[in-house]
Amino acid sequence: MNNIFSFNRFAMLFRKHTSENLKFYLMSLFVLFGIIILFLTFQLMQDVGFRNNDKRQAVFTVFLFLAGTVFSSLIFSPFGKKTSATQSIILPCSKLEKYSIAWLYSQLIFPLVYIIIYYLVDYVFAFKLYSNNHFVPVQMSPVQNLELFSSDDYRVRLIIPVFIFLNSLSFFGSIFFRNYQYVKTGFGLILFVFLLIMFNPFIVRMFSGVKVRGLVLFSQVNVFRHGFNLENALFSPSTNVMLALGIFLLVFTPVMFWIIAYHKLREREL
Amino acid sequence: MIEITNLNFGYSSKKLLFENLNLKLKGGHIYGLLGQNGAGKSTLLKNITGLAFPVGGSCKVNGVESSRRLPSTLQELYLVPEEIYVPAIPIRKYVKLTAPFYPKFNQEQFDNYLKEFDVPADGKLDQLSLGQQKKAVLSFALATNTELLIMDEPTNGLDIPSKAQFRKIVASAFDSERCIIISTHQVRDLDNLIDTLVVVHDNKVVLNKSLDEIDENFSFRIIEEDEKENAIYFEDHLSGIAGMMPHQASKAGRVDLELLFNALMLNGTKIQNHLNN
Repeated sequence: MNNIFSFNRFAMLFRKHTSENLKFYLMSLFVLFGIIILFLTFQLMQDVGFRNNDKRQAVFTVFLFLAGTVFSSLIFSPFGKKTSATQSIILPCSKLEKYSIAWLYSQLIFPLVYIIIYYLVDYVFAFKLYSNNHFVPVQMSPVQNLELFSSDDYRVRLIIPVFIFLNSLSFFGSIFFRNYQYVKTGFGLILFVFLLIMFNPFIVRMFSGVKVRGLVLFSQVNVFRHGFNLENALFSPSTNVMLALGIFLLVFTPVMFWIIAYHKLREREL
Repeated sequence: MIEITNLNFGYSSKKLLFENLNLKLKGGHIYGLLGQNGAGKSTLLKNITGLAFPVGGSCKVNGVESSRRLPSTLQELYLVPEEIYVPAIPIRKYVKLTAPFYPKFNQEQFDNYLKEFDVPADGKLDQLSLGQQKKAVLSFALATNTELLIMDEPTNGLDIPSKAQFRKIVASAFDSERCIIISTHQVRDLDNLIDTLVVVHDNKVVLNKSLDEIDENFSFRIIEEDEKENAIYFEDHLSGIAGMMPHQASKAGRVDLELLFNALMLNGTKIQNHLNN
């Protein structure tokens, strides 16, 4: 018997997880898209919301980040409550199978379902309602491009990695904390960023030997003496440095969170 | 079946709950696990089932460390916790989704247990009363036919007729391969059910003996006033003085679990010495 991973057990667990949670998931999606539709309707009636896709992108991004991280922070909650944890831990499946189900649902299925449904809703609003003047009080000049994101939109390259980072952090927080996972993870993130801002000048001083005061994270360092900018861009991160930093933060960190989450699941006791 | 060797365990590293605890439990027995509140019964069960990890020593089920939580070990182990959790789905669906994880699950047995417990088979788990939920979970646990079945306070929440049904059903589900452990405060619920008694007191196993062995060594009966000084333990009852006496062949009979438990709490060493001699 394979005690590490069996596709048969994985399939049984996937079916069990889906059947036991399907009603809750569908109801949550219904509420989530009910709110999103209300927002889009409001924008549609204002017209400008659809002329400029900034607001539609904002709705897409805010709800993706909020709903995705809330969903991920709840994915291991059965392992946190005493009553359900017993059943979850002693169910005859390997730790890897239990972890894979949680990972698949929170890191892949939910974001995909959200994106697909959002695009469908947005398509109906943009191309069926707005284009045909439904619910639009005053139609201004025709808009050429109604796509939510164009293929060369730089925001996509920012939104996706940041979402993966936050989503993996929530996933980690879900198993790291036993209760109030979302609040505690958020608090932890805020504390970490705050400490980073506090210590950033010291770190820069350590590397550069120049005393600096308030400093924006990951930005260039300008050194002023007697009111003059003497050493402009002493520490101006090059594109390569920024790329390396981006890869570190947005690729390495999520992978690290996923690995630690697996080990936390293995160690989970009652 | 279960082999606990020099087990050290504590929720805090400063204070150990178990120190060098040793215990062996075999298949073909129904064990009654007794202990006062906070004695460590549930903690012991958590260590056995791999829900808690020993700080030192080992706790093995069928030769495998239970803390490894291997599917091969877990599919032969079922725990009915004191506080149960049921998903919001019908009983039939729950069985369809969960039973495949237990290769020896028997649907016919499950249906019979539900019927005996008078639980509607088409009911939705979360809409049943707490007692009914417990009976549904107990039916499922017994029908899994796992080699090791552990029940923590299984009769909590059951009405009086259901307690009698419970004893009957457990007895019928027992076979020579199976090891059943029932942990409870309510010793009366174990009457005529268990064959071996394990008592945890002061974080130690103070007794692990079969009822036959206890019966061979002690008698439990109403004693006369002048027998008090020979009694290992006695207490006043409505019907007289109930005493635990060193064995007298002619008067050997049923083991009074409540009296034995009270005696152990007060005169544990005396009883252990008597049994060892």
